[in-house]
Amino acid sequence: MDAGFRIDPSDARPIWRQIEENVRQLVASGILPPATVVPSVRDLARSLTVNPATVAKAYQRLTDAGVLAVRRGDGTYVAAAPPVFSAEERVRRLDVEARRYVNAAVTLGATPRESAAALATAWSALGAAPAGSEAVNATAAPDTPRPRDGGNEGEP
Amino acid sequence: MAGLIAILRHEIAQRRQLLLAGALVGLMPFAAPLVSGTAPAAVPELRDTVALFLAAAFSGLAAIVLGATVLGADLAEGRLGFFFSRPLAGWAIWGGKLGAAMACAWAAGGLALLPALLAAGGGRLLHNPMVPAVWLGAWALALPVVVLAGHAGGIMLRTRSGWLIFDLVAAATVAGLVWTTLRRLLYWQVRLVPAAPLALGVGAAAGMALLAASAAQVLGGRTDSARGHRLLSLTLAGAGLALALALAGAAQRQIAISPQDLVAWTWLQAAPGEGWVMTGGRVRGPLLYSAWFFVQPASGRWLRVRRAAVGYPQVAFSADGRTAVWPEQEAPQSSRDELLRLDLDRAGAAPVRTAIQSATPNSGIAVSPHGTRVAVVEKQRVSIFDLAGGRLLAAHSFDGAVEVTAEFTGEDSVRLLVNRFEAASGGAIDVYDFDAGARQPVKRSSIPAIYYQPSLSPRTDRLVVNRPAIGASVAVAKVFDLTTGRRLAELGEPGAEVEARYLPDGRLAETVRAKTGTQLMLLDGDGRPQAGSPRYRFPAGTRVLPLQASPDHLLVREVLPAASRDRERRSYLG
Amino acid sequence: MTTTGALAAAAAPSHLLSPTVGAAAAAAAASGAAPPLAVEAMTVRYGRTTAVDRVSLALAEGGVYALLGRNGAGKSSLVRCLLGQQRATAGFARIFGRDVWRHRAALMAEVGVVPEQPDAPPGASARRLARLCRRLYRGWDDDGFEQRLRRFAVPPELPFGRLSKGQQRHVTLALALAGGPRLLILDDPTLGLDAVARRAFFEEIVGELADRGISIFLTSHELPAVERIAERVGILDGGRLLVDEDLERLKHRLRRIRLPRAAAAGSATGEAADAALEALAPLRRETRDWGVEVVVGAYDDRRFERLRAAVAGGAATVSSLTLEEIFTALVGHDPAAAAPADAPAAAPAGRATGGSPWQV
Repeated sequence: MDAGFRIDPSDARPIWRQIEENVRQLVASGILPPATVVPSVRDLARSLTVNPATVAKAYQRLTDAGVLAVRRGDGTYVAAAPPVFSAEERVRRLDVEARRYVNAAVTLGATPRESAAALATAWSALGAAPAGSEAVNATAAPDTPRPRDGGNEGEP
Repeated sequence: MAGLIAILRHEIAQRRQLLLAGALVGLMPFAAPLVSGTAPAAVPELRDTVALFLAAAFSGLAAIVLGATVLGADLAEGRLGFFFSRPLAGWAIWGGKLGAAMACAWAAGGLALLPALLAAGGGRLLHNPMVPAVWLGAWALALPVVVLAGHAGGIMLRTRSGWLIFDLVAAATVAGLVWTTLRRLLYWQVRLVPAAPLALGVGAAAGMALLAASAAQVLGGRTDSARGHRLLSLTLAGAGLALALALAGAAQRQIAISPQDLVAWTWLQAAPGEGWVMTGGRVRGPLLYSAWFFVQPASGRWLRVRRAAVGYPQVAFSADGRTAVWPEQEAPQSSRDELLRLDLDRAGAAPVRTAIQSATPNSGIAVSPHGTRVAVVEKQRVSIFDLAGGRLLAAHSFDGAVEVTAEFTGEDSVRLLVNRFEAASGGAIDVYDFDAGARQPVKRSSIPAIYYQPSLSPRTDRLVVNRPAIGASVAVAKVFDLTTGRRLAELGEPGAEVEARYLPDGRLAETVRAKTGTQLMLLDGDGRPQAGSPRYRFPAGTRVLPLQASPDHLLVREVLPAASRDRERRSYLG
Repeated sequence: MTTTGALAAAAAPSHLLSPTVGAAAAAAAASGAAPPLAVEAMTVRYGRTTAVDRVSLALAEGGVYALLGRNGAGKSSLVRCLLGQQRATAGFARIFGRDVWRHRAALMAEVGVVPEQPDAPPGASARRLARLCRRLYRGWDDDGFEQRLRRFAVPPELPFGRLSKGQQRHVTLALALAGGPRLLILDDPTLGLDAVARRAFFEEIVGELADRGISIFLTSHELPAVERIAERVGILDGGRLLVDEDLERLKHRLRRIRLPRAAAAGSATGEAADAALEALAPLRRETRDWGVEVVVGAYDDRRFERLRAAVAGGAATVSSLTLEEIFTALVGHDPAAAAPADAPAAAPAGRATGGSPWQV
């Protein structure tokens, strides 16, 4: 089975965080609609060939955050109403990603205008607005490669 | 236990092909007669013999190869870990694998023998004249030891560790110790019998040592081949040395004996003057051998001596009782003797080798009265040697079928009695005088008599010949003068058996056995009755043997007839 | 889930490359249960060569410990002692609290072993091997064994010696798992396997981790696979344990910092920058056309900010390292100096010698 994302070992983020954020993105972008069944810990671990404990930790955090819900005997599902980021949280997270983007641009030697144009192009490629309810966050498309280096990387 | 059995079954199943080969080998004896083209009558025996030898060879070869590979191959190729990473006790791995090897070796031999056994109906095969049944049993017992030896050898050669050098050194040391012990035993003429229990003992000891060593290697070394080899070598060397030392100790116990260790005194010969005797008999212990000693009863001193190569002792004393000469086997396994001499009157004296050699057995040894010369008779050859230096002084060989007896008449002169056989008359005794330094003996006389139960006078000038009763004749004794060859007296009585012997003091003791009784009389050296000498009477049928005399006593041995056994009695007669 | 627990119990991080020796063992001891695997001050000497030098480590219950090291670093000797097949010169190896050398036979009932070289008798088929092993274990899962053979496409009646390398390893793993072990010890289990077989092998391991909560100790050169599965990592170099740490923590504190040449200009900033860099415990530095690249061993965000502030233009950047890069940085000696098993005391590898990184 295909998880829909890959684990990047050179990423500074631990594997469980990568899983967590990837699932968040899939949920936020509407690729995993609410009440969809997600792979079990075992199956996801096997398909990613990662330690099941890592997957379990990510799922636990997602469940605690309300993104996933566990139905006894039935498996794990996307929550009916995945949580919303507060406005402050949204601003903070956007700010982090913006810094990262700007650093990448600086490394490439791009001008502010060039980087703004690139940003606009990316928006239009995604469509005017993200699918699903307004409660869902959209950050970036699920399989955009994250910058490998040349940027500050957040706390684990 | 379950683990051991699981390993056993697994290892045996792995070696199915060997058992198949054994069955095929079992069929080969049926082809042998066709190949060699023997007569139909001899075919079964040929088949049986071939089957026995093939089975032995095949099982032996299998045992070596199985022993070398069952653990050694896995260890050398890093596959022993498979077993050690399972819940299997070390002894289960060891026992299961070695047990499987032994079982396969036995099975290989059994299968190779089975077709011939069935064809022969069992009994005939087991009673094959060339191969006794007990050998089959011995071979079956030897196979596990061969397996263990193969294992030890395999480990030593395959692990490529420096301990191989240690093994060779230890083996050489143990072999050296054992060889030295055996040579000592042979030197002291110990017969290593009974052989079968000894061989069994050696085999069992070797088996135990190899068993312990293999266990140490597997249980202690596990998958570490260097450590395993070390443990094997140390255990084997330790066991080997211990056994060799035990063997040496046991041999020493058998060799370092005193007259007290004799269980029976079967030989007794006294020197003139009776200061010393030579005695000997069977030694205590499981080994069947005898030992001989010179013993001085008065002081308790004793000296150990060895016997001649031929198997019984022989000693000649000088007339003055101060020198003893006897032959000893020259070297272990040799068939020649060397003469040794001993000064009996010197305190602290030890046997001295004279460098005088003779064949074994010799036909007689005589020592001169003062112990300076020795005469050796080997069949028809007489040699006179100087005893101190071993130098040959004179030698002569007689022709024809003769028996020679030599006695010293003086320090340098020997009287020879040459017993000649003649078809017509029966024989004659030629009397020679042989001087040391002379070219050849000088003939003095010839006595027309046959050398029956002779008795020589102490001064070697008279000879009594006792002719037994044959047919209608009676037993008589004849006295001869050796210098002239003349018959001095004929002692005989009708209806009686007469025997005469010289006593050490020169008198002649005559025994007359008649139906009415036995009489003993003392005569002078020429055979004439002495005035005033007593006659001694004994019951009818008694045989009397005069032994020793002093001026007023006479020691005789009486053999009394009885219904079932003769009884002996010794008497002093006044 | 015990990963977080192990992380929380790790000793206070140190700047230098000293391993958090025995931390997991201490944590397990504190919790009262014997860890599935524990090595206590183990030393293995062959004559004058020291193959393993006072190594201590522990595997937590349900955890995965990966022991890394270059060839000849002493891993094989250590593993043999762990399996009770070799006697250490000093120290102990314990499985579930019991000394392995003395209680090997009983302990192996709960341990599954996949050795570096396949060691099954070459003449026996997979089925015959299963028949042998069935009698040795109390709870032998024959169905599971057959399933695995089918899944790996291994012909069950073919003699072991005639199977491909990959098939041999799969059979060995299947035999090891069918006994229902609580602990798996794997010594370079994917050596020589192709990518497909490798993935199948690790998938199987992951399945067992998920289904049974088995504890795993493995040695491997497959660093990309190890960094996905291992929770705790040990790095053996010249017989000594350089690193004994949770993987997450290791990856957090070992980073690559890039300092462009332009930032190096200006001597006024040199000293402060040097001090800030020293605080990050530099391990290796390499000079490039555009500047200097430094691998540091004690990264945290605050120290890095200090460095950025001290560097002209604030142009210092940081990135993370794969486990392979971490491994090379720690034990990749100069070829001239590579004498691993003989090195009596390997100094912490790649420690940057004195001098500012600006001086080229």
